[in-house]
Amino acid sequence: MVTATATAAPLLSVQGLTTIHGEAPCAACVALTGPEADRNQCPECGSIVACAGVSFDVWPGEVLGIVGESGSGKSTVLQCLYQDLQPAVGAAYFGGFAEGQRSIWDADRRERRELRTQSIGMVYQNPRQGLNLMVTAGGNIAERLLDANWRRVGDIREKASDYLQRTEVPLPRMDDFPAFFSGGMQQRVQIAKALANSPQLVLLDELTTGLDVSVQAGVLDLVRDIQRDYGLTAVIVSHDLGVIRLLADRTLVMKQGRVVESGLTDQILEDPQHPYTQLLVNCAT
Amino acid sequence: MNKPLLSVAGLSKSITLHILQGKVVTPLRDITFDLYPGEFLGIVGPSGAGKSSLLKCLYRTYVPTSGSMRYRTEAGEMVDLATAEEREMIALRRREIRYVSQFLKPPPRVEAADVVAAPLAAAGIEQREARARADGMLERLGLPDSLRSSFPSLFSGGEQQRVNVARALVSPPRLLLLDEPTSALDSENRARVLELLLEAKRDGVAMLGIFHDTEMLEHLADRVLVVEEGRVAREGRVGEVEIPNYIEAAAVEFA
Repeated sequence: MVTATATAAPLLSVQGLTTIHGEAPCAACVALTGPEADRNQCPECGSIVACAGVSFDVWPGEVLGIVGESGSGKSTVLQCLYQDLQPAVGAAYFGGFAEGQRSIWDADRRERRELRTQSIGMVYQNPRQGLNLMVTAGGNIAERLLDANWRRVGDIREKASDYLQRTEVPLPRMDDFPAFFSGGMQQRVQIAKALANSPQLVLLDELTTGLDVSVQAGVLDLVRDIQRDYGLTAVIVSHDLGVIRLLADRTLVMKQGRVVESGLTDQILEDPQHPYTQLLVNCAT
Repeated sequence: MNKPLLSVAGLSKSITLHILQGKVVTPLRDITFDLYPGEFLGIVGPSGAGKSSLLKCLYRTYVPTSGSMRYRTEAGEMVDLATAEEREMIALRRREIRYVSQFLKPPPRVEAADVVAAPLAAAGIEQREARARADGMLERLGLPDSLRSSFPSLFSGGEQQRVNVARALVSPPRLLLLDEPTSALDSENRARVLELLLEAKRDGVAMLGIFHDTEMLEHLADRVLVVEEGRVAREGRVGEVEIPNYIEAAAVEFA
């Protein structure tokens, strides 16, 4: 039997991630913000501390949840991992990059592009960010596969139709523009696009927010099926505890840019330790 | 030669309710016991005595406040379940430790047979094979064919309870935690669960079971822990240790 302790390294190890938005952050920014101060804006210089000192590991085959209210910094963490934002401080070692020896935030432009297009998939809350709405659904997926160095048109088309089918996008719509799709269908195309080249790590940001309940169920079932069939490794950000309960093995709780608590998902939900988590769990309907 | 599978020592659990002005409740105080492979330890006590909290600590749904819960893994390593890393707990839950909660929280829109097959699928068993074994287990528990392919969220309490038991026993665990697994069952279905649990016991599965039904304990339990106000009040063999009938006692109070 292979015990947990005997298995290799985490796929992703984030250490001390700190992101500050502002013209000239001062030395007091981190000390004067956070859950105790109950603010994320530095009273000295007005900079916004989006997240500070965030550290966590993600192991292969595991889904890590991040919960917290709006503005808690959870999306910032994903944006940094997907290289949409460059953090002020911190390192992230990823098994799919430089054999985990260099931080992904020390990557050069070419390496960054490779990380985004080949190793990591991102599903944004708003499909507009992840899709080109005026390129066909099939074209969006083809774009991602071309970036990942797929070359044969026949293969690309076959893969695109395979993933659209899997995400239950009707095949006759493959050559239509997502601009004319419903929100739920756009989200499914975005998921198909993010997963089509089998990235090692998938980042999912509020993937059901803004969808009506029946469409939410369809999108969640899709992710759950993928999780079961392919052993997804993912970080999923949501303010919806139901989504976290359904998908995440472990969960981090964020408030005012800091991780205030982490644990097994059922423990976070049934025996929350931090006052904020207790409040969050007791607010759930 | 026969070493305990689980040694619990000085286990306590307090909960600080920050949303209730920092009120502290202490469901468990200084619990100590050993459990051997193939042994069934019954847990009895009045409502609110801390019985479920004990199982939740062992499964680490609750974080213990102090004490240790040393568990011997299949690989022969000693792991303190109180402080084990989260991913170690996840691995143990997948392979060795199962928990039948008092109420099933069925995942939405998943067929009963797939709920039961989930631990097999997680262990890498091929989907069709896993589903067939799950079907077989549900059949043994008397769940009709038509229900096996519908959603447990629509089931009665007793049907959900059988799905919960089936999921725990679909592949034999090494440690099984049972929280009133037969409370919603009629006598025929209770007998079916009893038969499966006796079989698991013969296969060497160690069990901790909360039962209000003393008849089940007489069939299953080697020893009984009587828990009152979070402490072990008494412990001993079934028939030798005094077990108050909490259900009848409560009925008298109501009368």
